[in-house]
Amino acid sequence: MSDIKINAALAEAMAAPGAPSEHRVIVKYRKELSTSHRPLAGIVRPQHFTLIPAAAMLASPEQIHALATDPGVETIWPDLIVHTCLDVSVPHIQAPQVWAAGYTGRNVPVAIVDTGIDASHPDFAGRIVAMQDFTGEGARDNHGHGTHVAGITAGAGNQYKGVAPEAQIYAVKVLHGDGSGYMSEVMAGLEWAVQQNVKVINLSLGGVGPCDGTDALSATCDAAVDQGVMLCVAAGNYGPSVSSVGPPGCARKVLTVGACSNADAIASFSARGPTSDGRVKPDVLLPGVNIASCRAQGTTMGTPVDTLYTRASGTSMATPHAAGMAALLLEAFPTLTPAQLKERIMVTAITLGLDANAQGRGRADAFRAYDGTPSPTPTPTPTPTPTGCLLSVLHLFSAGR
Amino acid sequence: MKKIESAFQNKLQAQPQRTVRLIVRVKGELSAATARLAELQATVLRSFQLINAVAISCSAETALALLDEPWVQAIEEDRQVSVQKPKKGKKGGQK
Repeated sequence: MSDIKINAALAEAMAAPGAPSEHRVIVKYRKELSTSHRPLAGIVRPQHFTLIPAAAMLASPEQIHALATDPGVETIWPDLIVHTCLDVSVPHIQAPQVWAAGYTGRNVPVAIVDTGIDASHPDFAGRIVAMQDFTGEGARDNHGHGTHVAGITAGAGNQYKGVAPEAQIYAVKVLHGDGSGYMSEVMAGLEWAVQQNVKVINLSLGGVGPCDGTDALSATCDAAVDQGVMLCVAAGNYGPSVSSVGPPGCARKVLTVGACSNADAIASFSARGPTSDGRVKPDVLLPGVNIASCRAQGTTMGTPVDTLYTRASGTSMATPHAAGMAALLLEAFPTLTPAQLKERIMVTAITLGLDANAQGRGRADAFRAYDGTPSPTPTPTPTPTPTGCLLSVLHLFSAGR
Repeated sequence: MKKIESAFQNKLQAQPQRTVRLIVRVKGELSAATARLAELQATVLRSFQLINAVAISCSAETALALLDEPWVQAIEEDRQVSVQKPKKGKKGGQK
């Protein structure tokens, strides 16, 4: 009976193999209890709060269980680390809850195969492992798209934080300064990334559909998946026409990502299936409307927020949310194969009640994918707020309670 | 797998002197294919291990001649791809 006072996330953390001998906790007391009467059970460093009847402290599992038996204690929460987030999309897909569980994509190698990267951007400091150019222009991002995409997957800013803010970044430039390139240049970039043993590749690029997945670029993507790499590919922006998913979004083994708003409304531009051989695409949706992320120095892509950030829309912006999710999941479950990762992200997606060839399985959710909870029914749309991360953590508290 | 899409074949036949970029899927050794392509006056731009293919530049006439080569599994246009941002005027929101 007393253990129901212990938040589920805290109980899980205490029971985990290799759990620490002490945990940071916040203890909520019955409101009529004065501060001097709050049970502390010999616990060190208590910090009492006045807005709510609670105190933060460091406690051993035994002390936590003892506190839970005290009638003056209502709830014991984990004292989680909180973060500021990238705009509203990252909290919307519940990435901060995965961070709170201890997974930030740390050291997971992710390749952004795109227009290059602005390596001087502070949000990537110390995490760009390699840069490679296949355009002849040099690896620097002279368009802005690749930097924006990389920020969504792995930016670690104080103001805006990407989905996997501790992932390792491999920046592969295959698109020129005008934002286009040949399929063969992308294929070369993919081969290079596979040779670097990256675990996740983001491809926010493509051509015009329809397609059946047998073209050379789609075949290369599938071959990369066969090598153990998770590929997240943009569905394309030729929607809402039927069969508008283009290559390599029609590849069989990749996770094909369409775009929705932060309020879970599908974007009109998001490409629709089926593929020309009748398969359902996209596989999932993720936020891709008005996404704020890193701005490459000297570029004007999107609607600039300031010198370091800009806002942009597209399935290009939805896809790196998936790549970041894959990095989080691979840190948590390193033995997952790309097929298992894809399946996990798809079956835990939240259906928006749309046609499968518009939404795939629905809007993907980082925490559900981590938790492994299938979600068969639509959920109410939360109202995005600038303090979404903090609210998300509080939601976790209350859900566990 | 078709050796070539008929629409692309028609395009090559319409302008045989035009220079084109192709991706050629190869049966067998890439090195042997590369040597043969040089004999056919094609420029090999890149080779790919993941799908056993080469990217080349050649005349449309040479591209059509490749269809008779037994080591050629398929040829396709090396098409352009681009970043996936919406065209101007296309906004988000449900549709």
